Amino acid sequence: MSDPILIRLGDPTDLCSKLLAARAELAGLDDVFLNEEKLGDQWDFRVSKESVSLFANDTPIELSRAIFFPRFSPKPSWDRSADRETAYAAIRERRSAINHFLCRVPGPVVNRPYVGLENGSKPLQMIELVQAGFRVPPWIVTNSRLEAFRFDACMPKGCLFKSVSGMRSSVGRMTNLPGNDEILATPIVVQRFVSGYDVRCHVVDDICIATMMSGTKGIDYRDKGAEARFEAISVPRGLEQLMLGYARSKGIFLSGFDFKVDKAGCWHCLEMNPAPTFVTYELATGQKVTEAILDKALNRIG
Amino acid sequence: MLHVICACETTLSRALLACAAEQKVNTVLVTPAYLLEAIYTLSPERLMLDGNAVRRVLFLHGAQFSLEPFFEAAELSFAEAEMRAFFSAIHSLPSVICFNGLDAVQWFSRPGLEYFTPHEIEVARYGGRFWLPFRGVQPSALVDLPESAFPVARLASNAVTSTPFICGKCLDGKPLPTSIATRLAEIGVDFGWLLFTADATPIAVSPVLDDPSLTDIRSAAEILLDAIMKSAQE
Repeated sequence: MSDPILIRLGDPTDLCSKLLAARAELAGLDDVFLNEEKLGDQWDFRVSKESVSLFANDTPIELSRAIFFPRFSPKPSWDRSADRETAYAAIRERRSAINHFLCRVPGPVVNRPYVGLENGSKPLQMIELVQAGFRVPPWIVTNSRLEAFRFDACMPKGCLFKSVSGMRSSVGRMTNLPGNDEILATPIVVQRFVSGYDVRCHVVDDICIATMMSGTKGIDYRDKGAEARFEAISVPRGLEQLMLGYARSKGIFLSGFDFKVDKAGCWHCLEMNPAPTFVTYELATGQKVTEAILDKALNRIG
Repeated sequence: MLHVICACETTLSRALLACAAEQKVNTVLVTPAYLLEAIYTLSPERLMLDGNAVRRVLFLHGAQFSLEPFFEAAELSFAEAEMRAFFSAIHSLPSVICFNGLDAVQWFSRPGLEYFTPHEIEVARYGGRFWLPFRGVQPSALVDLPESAFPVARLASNAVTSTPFICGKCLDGKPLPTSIATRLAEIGVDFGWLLFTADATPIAVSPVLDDPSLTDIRSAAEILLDAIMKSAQE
């Protein structure tokens, strides 16, 4: 039986990937990095109906005990053509080819392409989370200023507005909603404000590692100057099972669930991130997310 | 009432609305220009559009919904992402029957053919004489490939035939191959073009029906409307 190997793929600057490499080295696990932009130069693959093969510097890599950790750059480049349109098409072709490969490799992939993309739409994901049994703060999506403020007025502590898509944008109290137009240019999510502390739960295969963020100055603990305190916290048993079940149903090996916990101790689910950045939490608390990723992936390949 | 969501008025949308009018089905064509004037509110239970509860939605253009004429370049990608996020949520509403609602992957990552026919494609560098772009539907000679640095879907020849399909059936009446039909149903694709190689192996799906090469638009519109009306009665 071949030795297990960690194969990181994609963006050489990704911090999660780097942290995982450091952990693999400590564990004595072989590690290979495949730069997305060096496909064809430094590495190559082949997919047929019967088999999948991978070559790094023309040397075949045994895939039966390989753990894949892809993290792609949001802005990959193509340096073989000055023509922008050709470059764009080539980048997309290359990404599709890699996705096809990752969908077909036999071992664990953290995470496989296309899983959890409901995260690209807050309302879509919130509907699914409620259907799965999570408590989600009441919300609407509207392009009507009047409807937005009407909903805001119905909530005892008011509402927040935020973007509808997964693109990072400002989150604010309704009193800070910009502009005066009755019809907004694009819709917004208006969601009941929940005061309390934040929790990020990293679900790794069948375990959950939760971090509490408290004492935040402002609305979002991730904002500059928020000065939140990070510490480990345990999760109610039923909620943990809910998260594990949801992630499993989506085929997601690693996910990041975000919660607000109110003064009554109710856990309100805000979203599930299918490509969570766990470095901040691990470095702030010493919680071993990367170790869990490697342990659980190694368990899967036996 | 049927809401037809469409990037712009097209021959298919016109034919569909004409068929619907003949059958006394109320329709609303929802284009970007319409949406910029309309008031809409989505809740976990329903979608209200200009005071009407939306019950049946047909996405004629799916994820290819461009807002280019309506937003400045700096705002365009954000505005399009926001509208895609809004549209994608509609199909998960229990109160709405959606046609061609597409799944989250198609709304947010615009996948290539590997997503539609995931087990049919052989991929390698420099094999065969022709290749099929993951994001295209026309085979090309290898000589046209940009200096190759990625594996490609290989084809022995460029003899590819295509056929339009709606709701599991090709327009010529033949059923789609079961594996393809199952896959398309899973991911919310109700119509498009299916491509076959010379030996009848399905190789790609293009989830857009409004193609200039679709000659019998009227027939396509009738089949589509019929499928929608039948589904609404179930």
